[in-house]
Amino acid sequence: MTFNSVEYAVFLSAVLLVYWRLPRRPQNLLLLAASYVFYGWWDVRFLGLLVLSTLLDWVIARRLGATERDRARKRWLGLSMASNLGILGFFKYWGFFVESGTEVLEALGVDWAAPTLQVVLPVGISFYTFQSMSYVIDVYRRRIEPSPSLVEFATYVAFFPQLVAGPIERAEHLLPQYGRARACPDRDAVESALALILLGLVRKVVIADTLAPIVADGYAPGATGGAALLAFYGFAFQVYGDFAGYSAIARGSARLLGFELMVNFDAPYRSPNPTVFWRRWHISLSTWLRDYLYVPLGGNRRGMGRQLVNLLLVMLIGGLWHGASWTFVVWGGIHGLLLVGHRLWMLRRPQPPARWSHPLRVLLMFHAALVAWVFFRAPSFTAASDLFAALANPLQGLEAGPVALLVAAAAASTLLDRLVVAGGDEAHLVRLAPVGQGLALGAALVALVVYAGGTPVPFIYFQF
Amino acid sequence: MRPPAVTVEVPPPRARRRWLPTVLAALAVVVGAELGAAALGPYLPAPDLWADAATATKVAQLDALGHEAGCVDVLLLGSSMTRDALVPARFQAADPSGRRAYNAALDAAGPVLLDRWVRHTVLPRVEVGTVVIGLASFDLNENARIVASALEAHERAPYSARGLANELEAWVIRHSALVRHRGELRDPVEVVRAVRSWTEGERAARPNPDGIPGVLAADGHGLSRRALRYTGDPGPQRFVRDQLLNDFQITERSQEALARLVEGLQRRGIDVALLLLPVTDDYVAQHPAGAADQARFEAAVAAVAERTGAALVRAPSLPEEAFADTHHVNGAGADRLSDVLPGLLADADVGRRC
Repeated sequence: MTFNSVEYAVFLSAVLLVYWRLPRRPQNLLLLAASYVFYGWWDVRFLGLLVLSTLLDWVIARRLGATERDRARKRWLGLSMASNLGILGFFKYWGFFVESGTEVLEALGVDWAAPTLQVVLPVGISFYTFQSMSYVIDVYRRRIEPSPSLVEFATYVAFFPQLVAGPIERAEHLLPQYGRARACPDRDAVESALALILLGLVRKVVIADTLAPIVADGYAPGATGGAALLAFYGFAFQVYGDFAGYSAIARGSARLLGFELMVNFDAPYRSPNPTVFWRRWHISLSTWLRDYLYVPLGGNRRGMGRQLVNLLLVMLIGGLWHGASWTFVVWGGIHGLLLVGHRLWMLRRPQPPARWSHPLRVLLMFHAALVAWVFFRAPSFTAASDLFAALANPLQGLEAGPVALLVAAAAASTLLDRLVVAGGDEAHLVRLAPVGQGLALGAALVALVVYAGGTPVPFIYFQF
Repeated sequence: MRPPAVTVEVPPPRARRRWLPTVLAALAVVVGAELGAAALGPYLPAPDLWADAATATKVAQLDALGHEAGCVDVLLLGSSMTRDALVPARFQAADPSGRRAYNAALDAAGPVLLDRWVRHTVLPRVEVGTVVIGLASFDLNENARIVASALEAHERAPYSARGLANELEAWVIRHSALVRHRGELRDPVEVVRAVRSWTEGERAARPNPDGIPGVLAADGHGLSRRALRYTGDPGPQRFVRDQLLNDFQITERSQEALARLVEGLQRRGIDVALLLLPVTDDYVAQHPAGAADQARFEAAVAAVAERTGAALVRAPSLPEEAFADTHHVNGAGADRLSDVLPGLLADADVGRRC
């Protein structure tokens, strides 16, 4: 059941219909049940894993809250980290570690028959594991109290609008919302929620799904230079439309249920440098990595050298978080190097850059991100190098149709960023003048009618 | 330690909202797009609304028949074997009473697909007196890949898919040019081409009752194999083994599907004849158990005929020269079968007119 399906529309409507007739506590129970149904829809086998992870962290956080002894607290924290990362490591990285280990051993001349296990990746495991971990860490840091209610905590971990692909919420932001009475959203909230859902659908169905086959063609073996060029640019808008679309639908769905989720994207391709880019792209992950990895590693408190190492390390781990492949590590590494380079540049030239250079810097940053996206999208280094090689002849086999589609999709994406999204608030649409709203609504409906009939493309971030 | 309060970031409420301009503006865009699509529609390529072009053409032919005569005396049903084997014009010429016939056979159509096709598409368009269902062993093979994929395509096509949601979608497609042409409108090159054709007044081709040149005649019979002659190529034999007779199995279910088709027609007062089509020895040899499987098939059809009271008609054997491949007849074979069919039906005492 994906957000861009009829099933989800029916599911959300049914939940809303019952939900707003219940008092708070039964509301939470309904949300939990609905979230488990939503997750079980993918693969009921992994529901147990989600429940196990939830129970474990709830119990551990309660223990953390019950003791003041530092050693005991560290032990409980360690147990939570080990179990969460152990589950994540096994299900997501087992094959990767075994394969990489075998290659290293082979290079060293050691003949080792690796144990072969076909481990299926449970959908959303990276997202809910990080969300659950942040709760335990915050309890350990005494930023929040452990939740007395298992139902509330379980709903926080499994909340269906953001369970599968985020935004990765913080306990201090989302968890208290389960404990409060929720008033049925007023007209403004409903309007802005529906605007978010509509925008999300346009981003996903109209922009991302239109570009998906063009990008796939460019990454196919033997692709022409023209196809590679279109894929090179197209993937940037595809992945943005796909993920920002998902996040917008998640936020809109949550708002209809009386919850507020964090903003996850803020026009990232208008960033003039890597630091700003990471404040605008997948904000819930970048702030998670900052708060739970970069800062504990020392952040910028231990000198410039250590700061740069920390930056690089965090981005490498951030890359690996996305997928169990060295290509993702390289993607993270490129962004790490960009951040390091920008930090060093800022050291040499601390004065703010000239205003006229802003468009150039945006263009430069965009192209740096494009290069990194190649490693994110390519299934292997060979595929990535094939694409770069094909780019040497960018006009070969370039066709007018896909070019027009790419230009239109890029323009639509930019237009949405400029006209509809303001300061990360994608519900800005409802603040437009009535006629402007109507025109935008009509255009969105027409675009959805035209593009919704194609083959549904799964959300890219579901694989993480 | 209390968790910090959470701010809900909804836009500030406004004193008074004016709905009408918003709704009217949205409506204007949607209506404008609909009108634009309706104007451009005839210049865009034909949308894929049926399983394939041949099906779309047969629907256009049935519509024309419905408007002209409203009735077909003898409807020929079956797979591509029937489509290629029976020429309605020759049948009509050979028939002493000159009954009007139409060949409504579809590619790889087994009894389940034929049942849906005839119930939902053929009979709502034309009245029928007699139905002749041409059959070969793969029609009753429970595992025939080609039959399964044809059924899947039929069930996926917007105009032949069943179920409330699909039928609702089909209704919307019929009434909205924007929805009907959305596949073509997604391609900017097609849109530009259509605008150019519009200015030049050149409409795009549409499925029409005249058929498809070299593929389908105006009376629904197949043209593509008429000039071919079977030479014993291993290619077609492999195809028959892998796609038609793979895991050959005639089950209760496949017989039941045929019986359901026959009984559905009979309930509407239509005479039904089951016609065993001729095949080459090479075709028979491709069955896992060879002639024994072919015999099982013939017995299964006979059992359905006995149970339903439908007439069982065996087409005459044809020499190998009358075949285009292992199981499709060529032009000579089709002419011969079409000439003898009126007599065969008369012998079986079927032939109700509409």
